[in-house]
Amino acid sequence: MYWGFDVAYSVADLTPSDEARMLADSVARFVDDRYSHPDWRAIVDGEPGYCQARWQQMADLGWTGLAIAEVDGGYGGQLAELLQVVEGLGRGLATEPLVSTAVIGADLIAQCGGPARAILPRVAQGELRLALADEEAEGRGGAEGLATVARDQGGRWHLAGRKWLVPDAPHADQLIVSARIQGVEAEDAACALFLVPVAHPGVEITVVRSFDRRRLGQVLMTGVELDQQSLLALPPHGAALIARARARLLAAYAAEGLGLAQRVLELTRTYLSAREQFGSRLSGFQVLQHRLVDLFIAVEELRTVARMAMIACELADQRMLGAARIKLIQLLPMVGRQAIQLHGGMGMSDEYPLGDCMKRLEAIALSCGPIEQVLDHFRAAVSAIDQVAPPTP
Amino acid sequence: MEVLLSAEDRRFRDEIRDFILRQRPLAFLDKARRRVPFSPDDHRLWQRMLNDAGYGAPAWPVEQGGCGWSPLRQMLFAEELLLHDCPRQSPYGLAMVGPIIMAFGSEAQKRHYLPRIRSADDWWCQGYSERQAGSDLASLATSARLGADGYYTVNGHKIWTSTAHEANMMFALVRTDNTGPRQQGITFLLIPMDTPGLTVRPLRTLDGNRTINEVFFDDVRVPEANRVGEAGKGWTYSNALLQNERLLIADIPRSKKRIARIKTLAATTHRGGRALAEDVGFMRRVALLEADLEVLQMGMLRYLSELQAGRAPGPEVALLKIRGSEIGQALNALLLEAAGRSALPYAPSDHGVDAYPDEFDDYRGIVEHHLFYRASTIYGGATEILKSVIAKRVLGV
Repeated sequence: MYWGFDVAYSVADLTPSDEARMLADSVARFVDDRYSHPDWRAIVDGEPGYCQARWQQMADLGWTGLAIAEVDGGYGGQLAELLQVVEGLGRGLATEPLVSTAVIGADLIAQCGGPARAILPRVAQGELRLALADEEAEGRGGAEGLATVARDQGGRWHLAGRKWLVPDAPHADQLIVSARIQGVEAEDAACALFLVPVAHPGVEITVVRSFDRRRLGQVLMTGVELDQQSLLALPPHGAALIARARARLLAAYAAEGLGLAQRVLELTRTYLSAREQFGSRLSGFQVLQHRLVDLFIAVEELRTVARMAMIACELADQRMLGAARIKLIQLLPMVGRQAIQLHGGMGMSDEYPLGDCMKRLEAIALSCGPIEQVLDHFRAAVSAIDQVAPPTP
Repeated sequence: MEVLLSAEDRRFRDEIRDFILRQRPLAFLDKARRRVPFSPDDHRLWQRMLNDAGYGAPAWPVEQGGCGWSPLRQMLFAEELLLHDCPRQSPYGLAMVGPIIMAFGSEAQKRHYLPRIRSADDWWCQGYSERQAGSDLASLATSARLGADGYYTVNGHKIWTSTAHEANMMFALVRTDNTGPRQQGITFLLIPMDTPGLTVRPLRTLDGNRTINEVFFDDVRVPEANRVGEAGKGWTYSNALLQNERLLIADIPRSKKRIARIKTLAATTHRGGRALAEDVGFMRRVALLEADLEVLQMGMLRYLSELQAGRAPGPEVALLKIRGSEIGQALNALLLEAAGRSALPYAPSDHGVDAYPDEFDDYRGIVEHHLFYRASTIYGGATEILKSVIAKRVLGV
């Protein structure tokens, strides 16, 4: 069983606990104290695109190992706590690969068990960074329609294929790669997962820079030969694990988006209160006040969505996950675009941090989509529930 | 939401559901099936039945004959009533004047009025708005002068007064002082509707029905004993409890029913030989609103959980009302769209059940609700007013 059904949630879980709030505060201080926006620019535009020293500090603070079990060298914390860290780092536009490594990668390895678990203590220490390479060109991924193929040849696996725009692949030491087992017909029964070191012969990663100043990887695998130890999961577990990873990624996007949206709201509120035109402060104009409130409402909704996504991914609740995904796709770009409009010409300046926040919000929303597909998944989840308990019109 | 309910809360809901299914008059079911609105008598009968069963006042403390339920259970209760085709409880007595009497009224007022609210012996209406005092309520001008005989003499004119023609009591804000700041000269009075000099005239709304009224006061005499609390404190009293009201007027259960109706209609309505339910574009728009509603309900639960944890949320809860009314209106618009030209035949409910053509029964009520529900972004704090409140009191701009 790969889903955490043993976790029970209640209405009280819709708000963070006091401990979680304190954690969020300390992450916010960490972000504020570390570097200014020009420093951030220098880091993300330089090599390797994130700050090695900061990554080690995060590990020393226990964040990389926060949700790794104690037997595996971690702290045995909950996803909810880890997401508080993600929210705080999101606020600071952090590019360190914490989500790929700690929210997705470490969890997949732990779920799979087996020999690969031996790497978890090093992940907790910050010595190893992970990335999930699932998505492929033309919308393949989520364990569906995979063109990457794994062949079993006399006890050794041969991997060939191309993974597409893999987040953090250029920062990773090991990739978790989804592939279809050659010869298996049924889609959902074909997906297996492998652990592939980036330095392995036959693996080639081309770095692509995105508009939100991140590094993505085009991962080309030709004749990658792996031993049995590299096999993480066989069908049908592979597809279920990918679904789990995608749900956790959604929860992480929701947390990061919330952190960013709060910062954008504050920037905008401060700007409107300080800027004078026509002899008075902009915050005195009712039309601008109301647009600021629209932004505030979006942030409050994102607060709800973030908790919803966290709970939904622990419970594998497809309906809640779907609703959260839909709202993220709608709200995140709205927050960024609204803030730019409220900043007027100042908002258009590339030097000002707002633009970088806005671009990241857009990038997250694109990574949650496409909206049509998401809506159709949500409709399917809802109609499955409606059939069990029909609502009265 | 389901997954977040505790075993006890689910059991609670099952008990409520069981009560409703056993006690609900058959006539309610029949009316709901035919989409005929409930009459004032239906509302009173149901309130009496609820009260006899101990469910008369879900939000009130046990000492006042209430259920003392948590906000979550109050929400579940209201939702069960609506989903099982029962009249919703009238807010005027239970949610508006009752808590004000409880907090600021005299012992005699509490003893007299509170039980009568629960038992539906009194039916209340709210006399706040005036022609020149809508959103800008503090500029109300209906005057009350206290005479030496211990009676107030009330003169003036209230408007948009919901259910004034069905009520026997009105709680009203009247001006007793013109000298100081305008908010400070307002007094809270309880006025019997059969007092001489008080006239109620219907004011038909866009749907053609009589829901609201104008109320005229011509030397209406009200005993001083009917004043709640101190003279000049009416504004403070009426605002003290506004927030609770806004927590619960997001209209979520009603919007859930609207979504269910859209889906039913989409399955039976055909366009060019194809069921509307097969139209992916249309159904995706329904899904967008369904996701909105899901998040709205989670947001409401989030505020309720803050409340239960002793961190009362502030004026930002008004956003539930802002979003809830927007979503409700958008769903009504989708229903209208699903009906298409079949929505054109019309007769207001007030003209009787038979005035509306049977042939179009599938579409009964769609236009009526659409038209009346345009008021939802206006009453209980217009959207723009609520946004200004959030801007000032939450964002500090």
